[in-house]
Amino acid sequence: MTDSLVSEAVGFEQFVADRGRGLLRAAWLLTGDHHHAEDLVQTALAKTWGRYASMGNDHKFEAYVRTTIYRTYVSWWRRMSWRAEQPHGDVPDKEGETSVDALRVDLLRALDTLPRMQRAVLTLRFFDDLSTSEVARVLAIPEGTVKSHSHRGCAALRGSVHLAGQEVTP
Amino acid sequence: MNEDEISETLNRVVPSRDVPEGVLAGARRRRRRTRVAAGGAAVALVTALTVSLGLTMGNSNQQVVATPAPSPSTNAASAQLEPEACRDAAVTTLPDNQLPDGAIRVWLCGGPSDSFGGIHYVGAPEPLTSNVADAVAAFNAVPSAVGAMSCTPNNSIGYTVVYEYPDGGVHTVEGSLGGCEAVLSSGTHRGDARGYLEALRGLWNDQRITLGTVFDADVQVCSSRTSVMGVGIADMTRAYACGPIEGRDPAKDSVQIPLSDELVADIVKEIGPRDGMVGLLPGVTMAAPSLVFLSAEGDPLTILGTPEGYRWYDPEPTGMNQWVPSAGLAARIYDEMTRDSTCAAPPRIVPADVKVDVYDAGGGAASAELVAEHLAEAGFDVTNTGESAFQSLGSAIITRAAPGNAAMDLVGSQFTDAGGEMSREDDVVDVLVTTMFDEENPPFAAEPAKDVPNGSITCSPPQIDPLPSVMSTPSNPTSPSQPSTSGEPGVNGECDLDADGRMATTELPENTLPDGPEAVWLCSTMRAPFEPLVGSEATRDLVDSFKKLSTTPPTDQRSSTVPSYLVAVYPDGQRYVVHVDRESSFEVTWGSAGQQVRYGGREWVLGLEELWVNQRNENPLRPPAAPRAGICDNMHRSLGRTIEHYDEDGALCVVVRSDEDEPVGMEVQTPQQLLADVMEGVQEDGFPWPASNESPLKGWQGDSILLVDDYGDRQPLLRGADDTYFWVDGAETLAWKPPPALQARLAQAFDDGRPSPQPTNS
Repeated sequence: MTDSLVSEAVGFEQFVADRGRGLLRAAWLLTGDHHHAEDLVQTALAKTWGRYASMGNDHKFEAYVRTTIYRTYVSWWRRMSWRAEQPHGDVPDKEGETSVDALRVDLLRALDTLPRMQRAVLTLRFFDDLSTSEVARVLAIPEGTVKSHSHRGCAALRGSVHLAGQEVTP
Repeated sequence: MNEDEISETLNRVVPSRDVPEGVLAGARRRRRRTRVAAGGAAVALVTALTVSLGLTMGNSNQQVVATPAPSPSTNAASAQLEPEACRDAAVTTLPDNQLPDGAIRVWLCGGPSDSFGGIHYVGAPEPLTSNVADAVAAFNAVPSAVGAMSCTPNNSIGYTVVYEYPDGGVHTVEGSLGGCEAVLSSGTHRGDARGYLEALRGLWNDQRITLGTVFDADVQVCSSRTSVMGVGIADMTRAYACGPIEGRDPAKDSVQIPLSDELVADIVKEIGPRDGMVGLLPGVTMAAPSLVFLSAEGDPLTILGTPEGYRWYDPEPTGMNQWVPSAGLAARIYDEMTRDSTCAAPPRIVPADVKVDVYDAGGGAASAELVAEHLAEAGFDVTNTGESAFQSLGSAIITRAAPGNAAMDLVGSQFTDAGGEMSREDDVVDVLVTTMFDEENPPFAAEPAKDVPNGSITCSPPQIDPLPSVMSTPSNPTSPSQPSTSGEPGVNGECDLDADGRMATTELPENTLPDGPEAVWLCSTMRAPFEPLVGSEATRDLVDSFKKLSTTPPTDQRSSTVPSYLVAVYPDGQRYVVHVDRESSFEVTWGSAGQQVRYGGREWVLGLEELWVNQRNENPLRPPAAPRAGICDNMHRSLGRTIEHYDEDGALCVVVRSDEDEPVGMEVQTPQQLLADVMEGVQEDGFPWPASNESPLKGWQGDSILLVDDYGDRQPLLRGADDTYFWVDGAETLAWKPPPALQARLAQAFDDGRPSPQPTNS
């Protein structure tokens, strides 16, 4: 390996160490469990690795990886393997269950009822805190469509039986 | 739960953990597998397809037909926005109403309607070759929708999906984004055409990210092509203006002018994200040259220059978008369209003897007197409605000055007095201000108005001088210098071949072709285009590819007996000649003694020919009529065009021995109906010949069907031992097996026309 390749590999590893946590969290929210989240992040990293050196900027590269995660997630819905499996949230034992754990389970159940695009839009808007135009760019859809998915997704969460009676504000 | 609460909840419940080491290791493994698979597949394909047809004529080693070439990478940049697989694609009947497993390639194409709202929709330029099973599953998962049969509109945005299978068979389905949004296969309706398309888009996007697909070919995008891949303005990296040609329908015929990268970036930035206006269909009244954008992957998006500004239709729920360019961008578009003499605007109108005093745009009492004559002099038709008058402005291609409120009031009131109405008062004011008033040097009559375009741009198609064919025949090897038998003028002296079909090569400065040739000829006694390669882009591409020739010879080097030559002619009169072996060794040689040698390989030669094919596709022209006699004299394969182009003429040819015991082609009597049946058969029933199969043409004795295209170029179909016919189509070997009755007719015609005694294929 040349020095530049070694340097690139080291830089990429450091990138994953520094910024991977945030990417994994978003992937978890999309997929509902750690196994699929890791699979999604791994796929996105494999796809984007080749662009790391040319981007020359971890912030830009993170945005690129994030875009890849979301677009990969949206396109995976037809995959036979994913349709055959039922993603399970990380359901804690009853004995050690906390209020956050309970909320987590309910939220995942509510999110599971949403179409993938709505789930992706909500995650980008309210977890990654992106603006409507930024969400539109990531998902390659018009802004109007983003607003539509966001509106319907929020309405669905509000009306979800899984979240009925949940006290959200601590 | 309000939005803040949703946000807070999401952030609270999502667990936080570091990325496990296995994730990064897994990503590394996947990346290595992907790269090896892509490279390995290419190597395997190259190996499989370099099986030569190995044709020999009895004892002669003369090669009559080119051998099949390696297939380019399936995700290499395509030279076409609309792949061949998409042409004439029609829905097929599915077994058990399901797509079978095992598809190897998928093409996403535009819909069956020729256009919708003035736009011609296209699919992806490259095929899907990865996760093809998911594409099959995506269709099979679309739920049936019997009711869709009654509400599928005849005219809507749609798409076609072509699935290819290893046996050469295809299955084709269609989706419509209008009406019930049905997905159709023959006899079956399914719902959710939009969801199916989204799934396909996702698979294509996945593949593009993985393979880094780019589309960098120069192709014809004008007029009015838009992709069903759902791309937006923000995705665009290139753009072209489609300049209307006077007297022709701009939707079908226009001059394509590339816009600079800087201008494209500024246009994209100014347009920005648009929400669109729901419910409106795009108008097709053209009032300004349309602009066609291309993404990095080759997905086009057209915006039409309507009287209300640029419009484009977004098939997503938002509908139609509109953009009126700023004065600065409008002027830059105009400037780039008119920078050479291809496009021009009518001379600007200078109002003569305008009766004005002093015009104050600062808000004071306007003192200029506008009367109908002033408006007419400025180019307005004051008797027509607003829209017509606006069109006369050339819509977006006008330069604006800053209007003042006083000016608007003035124009409004005065114009009313003049008896007309305008729908765009601000544009009226702008043009009037800039053409009629010079704010800095009143009174206006003493100073010329600012130079502004007034009236629509019109363009002239680039001219290519049609030149007679350089075809020569074995019986008349000096014919390139002789008039043809049809009485046409003699051929251009640039292809001055001697009796053996050769010409002297020249030295090259710094051992390469210099930049900027005016024209490049391809000369050969083998079939060669009659016309030169012209135009800065095409000749630049040729010169650039020349610079990439290798000094490494191939391992199995042979020489062809039929040379070809590139003759490059420059504006200063310089002329350089390079020899190219287009058949065997693919050597490229030059120098006074042919001492400089490079190698381009089969792909380089195919790329060379493709430049001419692209030029023909973009600038079709009719060659002078070539003599019918001697059609079988030269049976070399022509430029790589697909078989459906060869429908102009044809003949059955056999090979006989000349007095010098050389194999020569001879035409046998061919009934027109027989020829027509052959043309129809090969176009409909041709199939790829698997490279792994043994060549059926060993010991081929020369029977062939020669088809001719509108340029007089040939495509020989060689008759195999079992009456299957074979030909080379670009990078593929294709085959056709006539039905028994047609086989018998062909065999009879060959036998009847063959002089005896001659060996036959049977």
